[in-house]
Amino acid sequence: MEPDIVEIRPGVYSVLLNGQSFVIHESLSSEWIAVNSMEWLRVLADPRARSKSGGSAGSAAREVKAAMPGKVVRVLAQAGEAVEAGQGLLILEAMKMQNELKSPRAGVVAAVRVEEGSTVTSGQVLVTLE
Amino acid sequence: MFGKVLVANRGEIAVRVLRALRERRIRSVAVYSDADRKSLAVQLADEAAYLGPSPSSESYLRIDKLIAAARLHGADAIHPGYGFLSENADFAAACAEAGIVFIGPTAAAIRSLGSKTAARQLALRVGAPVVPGTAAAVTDLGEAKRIASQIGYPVMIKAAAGGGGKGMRVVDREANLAAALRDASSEAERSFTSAEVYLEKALIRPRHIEIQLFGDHHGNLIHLGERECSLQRRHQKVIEESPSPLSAIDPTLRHRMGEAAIEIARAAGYTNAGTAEFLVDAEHNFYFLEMNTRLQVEHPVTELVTQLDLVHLQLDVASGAVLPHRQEDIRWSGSAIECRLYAEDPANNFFPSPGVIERLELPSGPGVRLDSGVYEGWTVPLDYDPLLAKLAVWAPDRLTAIARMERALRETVILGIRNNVHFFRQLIADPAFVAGELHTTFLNTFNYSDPAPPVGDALVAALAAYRPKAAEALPVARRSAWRNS
Repeated sequence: MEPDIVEIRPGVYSVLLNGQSFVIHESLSSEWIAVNSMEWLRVLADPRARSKSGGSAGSAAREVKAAMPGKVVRVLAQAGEAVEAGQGLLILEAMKMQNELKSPRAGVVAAVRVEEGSTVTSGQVLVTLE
Repeated sequence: MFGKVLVANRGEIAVRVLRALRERRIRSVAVYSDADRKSLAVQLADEAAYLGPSPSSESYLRIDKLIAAARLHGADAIHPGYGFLSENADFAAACAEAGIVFIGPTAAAIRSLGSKTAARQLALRVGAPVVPGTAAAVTDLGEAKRIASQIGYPVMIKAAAGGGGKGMRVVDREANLAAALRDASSEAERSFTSAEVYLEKALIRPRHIEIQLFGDHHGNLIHLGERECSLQRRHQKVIEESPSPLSAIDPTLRHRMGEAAIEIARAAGYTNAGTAEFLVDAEHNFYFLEMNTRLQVEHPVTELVTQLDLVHLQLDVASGAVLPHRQEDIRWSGSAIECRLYAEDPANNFFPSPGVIERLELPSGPGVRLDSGVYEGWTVPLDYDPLLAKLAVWAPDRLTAIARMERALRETVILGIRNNVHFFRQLIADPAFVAGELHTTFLNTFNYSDPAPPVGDALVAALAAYRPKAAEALPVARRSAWRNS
């Protein structure tokens, strides 16, 4: 059966589907929706999930990206340095909390693209591995 | 009463204080950093003063800039809120020196209670129960070993100047003591510029219960009952309530703890709002931990059960008035619960999630109180702590309050940043929480899991079909393509 959709106000919809009625909120970026006030994030838009799913497929495994916006407080590995899987590469701080970014695999650091004090955005490439 | 008050803070607490000022017909001055130029507080205040760049070290922690702003705007008092400079004796002293009233205790009272070791010594002097341990800072390993074996393992190492779990270590046997002392001490130095640490017996699964105090400049000191704040993560409170579920089991507890708290505050010459924190063990013994010399984040639950406005009272007392209530006037009614809504990701170790709030639906209706510092379109800055808003409810009894909170959380939608609304929905439905069996390690074993999307795929497909433009942006709808946050 065809779903019936009415826009309640911009970004908020009433959806009638198979006899059931839902209220959907959509975010401006279209990356989030809420269904009957339960929120969902589009996984493919999530840089964390993207690097996880692409972990073995070429470029993703070479790049370590910021999972959250934040500030680089410490760089733990330098270009040319050999690192183990799980070894800390740098420490990112957001909202008074520090999070260590770990190397997804063993390898050699090709480049560190940020320096201590840099502000980074979600999904930004911070370190590349050879 | 004051003519104009500067609020030296940001976020929801700045809004909370600004509201009280307007209710008292006092002109208000908000302050802001670069990141907070578009803040709700700036929009709500009568006047606003720019402090500087976003890092708090260049804005909200700058005593000189705050005093200058107060002078420029002709404010006769400063409300410090909580955090930032609220427990900084130098700030209180600088205000006094500039002829500006600091709405809080005196610099001397902050000094005598600000250090945990000093507060502990004061408590011992007045005979209040404290957790067995050292009365002063521990400096050498031999002394630490002797004391630890005397009070018995496990022991807790704590930073004298500390808070928020920094410089804190639990040690379960002597072999680990040296390393833990070293770590705690260096962490304390980094966080509080003081490496001083002390030892305490670590209690097993204690409750964290605190007493709200109020003193005036005429020698009157009263307590406004207890708040149970046992649910903590990394020593940060997550849910608070009043009364404590323990009060229903042990009706004498509030009175006994209140008396002890008043004795400690009296010995320090305490004025204005303050909170005495205690740990309570399984036998209902309570032990004084420390005094928070400011208005607490969780003050709304006390306001809801006492029908008093603590910020109004702070203004009264700071302007020299006699406390308008005696101890015997204080009545407690019903049950209040507060959830701290944070910009954080419960599915990723609660990592903070700053960013734009793209859509915001907020709860209202009977018994619901929302203290918020955000709005739809607001960018949550990464420079400050992740508290967005405090959602509090009141109901005649605890179970009704839990149901009301469940309902209010159901009305809440925050899109664009990760947040802990789902986490609270699960937490308040937990049987142990509903039973009131709370302790400070409760959340260590509470497992949050992302709920599965209900009928996401079909709905997403329908929506994508409805909006051709959105169809490109959306992934092929699969059940696994969506996760909640």
